[in-house]
Amino acid sequence: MGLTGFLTVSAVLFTLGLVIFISRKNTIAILMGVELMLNAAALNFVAFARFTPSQASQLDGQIFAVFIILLAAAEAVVALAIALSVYKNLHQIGADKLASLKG
Amino acid sequence: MVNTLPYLSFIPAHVLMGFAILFFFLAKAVPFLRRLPASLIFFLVMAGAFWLETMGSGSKAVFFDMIQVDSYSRLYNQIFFIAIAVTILMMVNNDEINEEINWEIYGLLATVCLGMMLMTSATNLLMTVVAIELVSIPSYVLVALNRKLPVSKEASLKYVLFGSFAAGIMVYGMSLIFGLTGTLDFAGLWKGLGAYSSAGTAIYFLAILMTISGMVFKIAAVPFHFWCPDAYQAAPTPITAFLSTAPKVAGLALLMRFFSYHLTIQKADLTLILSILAMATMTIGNLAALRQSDIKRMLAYSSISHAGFLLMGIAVLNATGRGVVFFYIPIYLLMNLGAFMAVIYLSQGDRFDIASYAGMVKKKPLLVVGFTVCLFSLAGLPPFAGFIGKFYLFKVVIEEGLYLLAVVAAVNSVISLFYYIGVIKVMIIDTEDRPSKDVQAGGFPVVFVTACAISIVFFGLYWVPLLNWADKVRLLF
Repeated sequence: MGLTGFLTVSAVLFTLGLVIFISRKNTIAILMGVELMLNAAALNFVAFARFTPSQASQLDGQIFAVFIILLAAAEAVVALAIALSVYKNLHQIGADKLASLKG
Repeated sequence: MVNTLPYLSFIPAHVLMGFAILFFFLAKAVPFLRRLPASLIFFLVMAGAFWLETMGSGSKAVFFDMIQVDSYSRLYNQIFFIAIAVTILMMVNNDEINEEINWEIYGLLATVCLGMMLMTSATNLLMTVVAIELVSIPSYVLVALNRKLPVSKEASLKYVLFGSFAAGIMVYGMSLIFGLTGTLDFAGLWKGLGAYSSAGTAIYFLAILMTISGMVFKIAAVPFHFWCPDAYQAAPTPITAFLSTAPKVAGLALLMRFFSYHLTIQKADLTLILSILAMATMTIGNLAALRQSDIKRMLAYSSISHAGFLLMGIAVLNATGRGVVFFYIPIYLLMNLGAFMAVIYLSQGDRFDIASYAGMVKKKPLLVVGFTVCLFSLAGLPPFAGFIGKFYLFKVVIEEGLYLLAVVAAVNSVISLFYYIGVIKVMIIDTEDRPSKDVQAGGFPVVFVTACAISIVFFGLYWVPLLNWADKVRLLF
């Protein structure tokens, strides 16, 4: 599989994440969509680093992918903690039901 | 292995902030340390960091050229330290945050501060991501800490969802740029994008637009502004004041450094993108602010429209524009922090609807006058400092020949008058329909708001000190 294959897969992943973010009502599902988007970017970085290595430093893409994984984990930790405390307070986490703030 | 320790001597304030983060998170567990006054310690840390940044000189690229220390980053960092010091003062005088968790809050604020310091000096996409997330993730938590308003958790959840969405788009855009140019360095990537044969095609614009979405999210510009009103309304008021100033300034600083490496052939396209962004941001922010009944929500939309005005200075893409943005930022800080401090004390308990301010001038005349000066200055009326700031922004835009942008901004200035004056009318002309309990305000808030108002008037009449300060802001110098 060449570079095009990897890029196609990552573009599909990214689009799926985007669609999930826009269409799903459950907060946890929305978070899963965001994870898909982040992982699509990580896949892109690794593919580019493998097929078109930069002259200056060959590891830039791989290191960036590692950082994206860390970032996804950190965001998931904070987001799930906040979702938990929302559930404790309001007993629901549906994005369409959380509409106390308007204007 | 490369030894990075010698580099640390070039970034003493970052080191101090790193120790502050460790101290605040660890000291909570040590009974002896826990009895120390956390607010005072954090205030001293800010003073120390400010002193260290004023001592520095020269310009140097450190940590494998990932961050650039120069007068630009040092002066912006000083502004963050001032904003955080004021936030501490507000928190001490506010009861929306449980004081028992002060240690953790200061730890989070120190982390945000370190992130902002990295944002002003990042010259690499990887460092950009790390810095933006270092600011974002603690901010999500800070918004959720309002003990009087359970709905702050909900606002925080929305904030974290939009934040991670923006981060996802940003890293995908960065991966496209990396694929196009093979580098993550700001200077290298603009050179690479310029050399790329299909510059000006869809993928070129897509990569740039997706990459700046993370920074656009931090300054709460359109189309990543949806989190802003909710988060600002529900967060504890000192945190709202903080979020509306320091991270926004950091996002602007990062945008300016990112775009400062552009090549001449790319200038027209980039100016167009940034002008559209600026016009959309100020118009949508202002139109939404017109129909707000909650003061914090209104100030949130007002801060969105101010992000639009500040983007004008970035859209011209030259050193004069960067100087003018820096000139406006201390003024913006004075107006916004003064206004939020007044809001804390004019709001009785947790009532933030504008209607409850009726007849406030009779109870707290001095505070209301100070608040009025801040609001007039936000609207950009002479002789207040906000007018001078806006005047210089218009000047650079017209000098660059961006007449449409100048006209849209002028119309928006007029629109913004309506909602600022609406608040002033309620406070001064309207009378109370029913008597409410007296506003409990000590001496400090009145002194603070009055000091802000006096400096706004002072800088409105004599702005040379600010101009001299803004003159020192140079990239790589």
